[in-house]
Amino acid sequence: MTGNEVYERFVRLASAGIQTDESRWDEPYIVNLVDTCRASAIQAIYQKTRIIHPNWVQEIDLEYSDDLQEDPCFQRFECPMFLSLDGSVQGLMFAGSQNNNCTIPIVRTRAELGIYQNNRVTTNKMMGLYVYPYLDIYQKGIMIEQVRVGGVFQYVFQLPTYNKMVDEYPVTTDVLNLMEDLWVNKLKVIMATPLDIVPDTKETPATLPKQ
Amino acid sequence: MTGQELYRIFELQVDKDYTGYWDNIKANRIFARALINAMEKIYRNLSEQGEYDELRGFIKVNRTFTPAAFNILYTDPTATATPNIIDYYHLLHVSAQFNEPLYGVNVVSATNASPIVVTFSGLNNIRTGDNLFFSGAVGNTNLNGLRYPKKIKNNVFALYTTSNFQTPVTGNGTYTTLSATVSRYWYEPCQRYFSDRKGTQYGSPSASNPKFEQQNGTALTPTMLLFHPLNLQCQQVSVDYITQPPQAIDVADNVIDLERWYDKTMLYLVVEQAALLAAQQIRDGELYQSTAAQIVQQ
Repeated sequence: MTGNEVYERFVRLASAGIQTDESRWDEPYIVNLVDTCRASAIQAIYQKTRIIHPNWVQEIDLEYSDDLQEDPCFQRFECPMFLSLDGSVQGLMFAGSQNNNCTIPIVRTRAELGIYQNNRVTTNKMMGLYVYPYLDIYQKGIMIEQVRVGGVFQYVFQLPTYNKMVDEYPVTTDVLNLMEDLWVNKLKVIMATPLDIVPDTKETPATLPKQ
Repeated sequence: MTGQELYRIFELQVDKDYTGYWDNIKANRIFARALINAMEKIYRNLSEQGEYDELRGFIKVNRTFTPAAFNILYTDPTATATPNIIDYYHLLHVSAQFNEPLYGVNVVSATNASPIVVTFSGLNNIRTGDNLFFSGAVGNTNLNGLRYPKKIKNNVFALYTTSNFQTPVTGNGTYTTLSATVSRYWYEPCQRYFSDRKGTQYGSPSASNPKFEQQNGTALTPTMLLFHPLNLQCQQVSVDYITQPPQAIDVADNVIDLERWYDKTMLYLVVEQAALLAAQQIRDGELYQSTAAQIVQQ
């Protein structure tokens, strides 16, 4: 199911099964809610099963840009936001080269990075520090042009490499079902019925069979 | 059914011999108004196939126009500005085409071959079957236009002129690197741009989520549809709309068959609406009530 199909599915869920150009649901709003629902559903399922399903995972290649660089000690890449699966496990699962021969250990805090860099065994190892929105790669004497990162992203529709018309929306059926439950019950998106526009004194929406 | 026949039914409906006299000019005026009233009555309930059938003479669909600069389509029968829908009455649906530039994506190379193979640089979400619009290519000018990419490998695509990849685009020269710009081609349904949404971030129009608003203008800039986003040029619009009455009813005419334009049910409704108007004019309360009840019954 593509991103666009998921979007339309949720619009219809909130609009009595129909979607017209008279709809007052704005696409960016619904898309944002859908992404939020997905994040909540994945968190709930992960916390129950402790398994990250491969269908939730996406990969993206980050490209080097001169404009981002601030210090010769590290190379900085702009990186989309990952989903925090619970209090301690983050959605960032992999960082490395495009052919996956080289992987980069990622830490989340400068203190953690400092510990690794001050350790005599790991001091010369390549390390990555991910603090949204940047991924800083620390390695002396190596120029990195492109980094591939993989994981569970927070906002799927905002990924620069995600094509909502073609790409599968990264969910499994259980996540999708939970998303619909959240949509209706937790987020309380109004389940609208069509307007009664038939001047017949009955509460009969125009799209339903007339009595 | 001709205008004359329709008038005869009207005369029977209002029992003309007892209720008054209308000359042809006055009757034509009543019928012109009744035609509009009948159309409006059906238009407001337009949801089922039967109602679409009744309005068949008034509905035009998939009419394409190329908006003027500033994304304007005029909708005024008297306007001389173009493009203009001279018989516009009510809007049913409009889709708009915008080309959204893929910022940060460069066309590094384009082979002089068949099909043209292009190499992009920069993060992108181009996929096989996308609708891409190339412009400004120097050297290999056949690259320009609406093209359908088929992926060969990462960032490398072959280009076709048809979405089923049957007709390749053939190169016609040596491409000057980085000369072309690439945009994504969107032809999407427009939503109305409500005034109360203009202050919201989520309500902002975009190429993939275009919007339109209706404006009243002056004599120089008559009534128009304005398409958003305004920072991009709207390339084309496809409009479904209700037209002005396509054929006036002349009660003296016995040649023109009105059923060429109007559904029979519609014509009977016109007669009833005309009877209603006539009853109002001659202040015949009984006739008014009985005709109104007849319309509700139908």
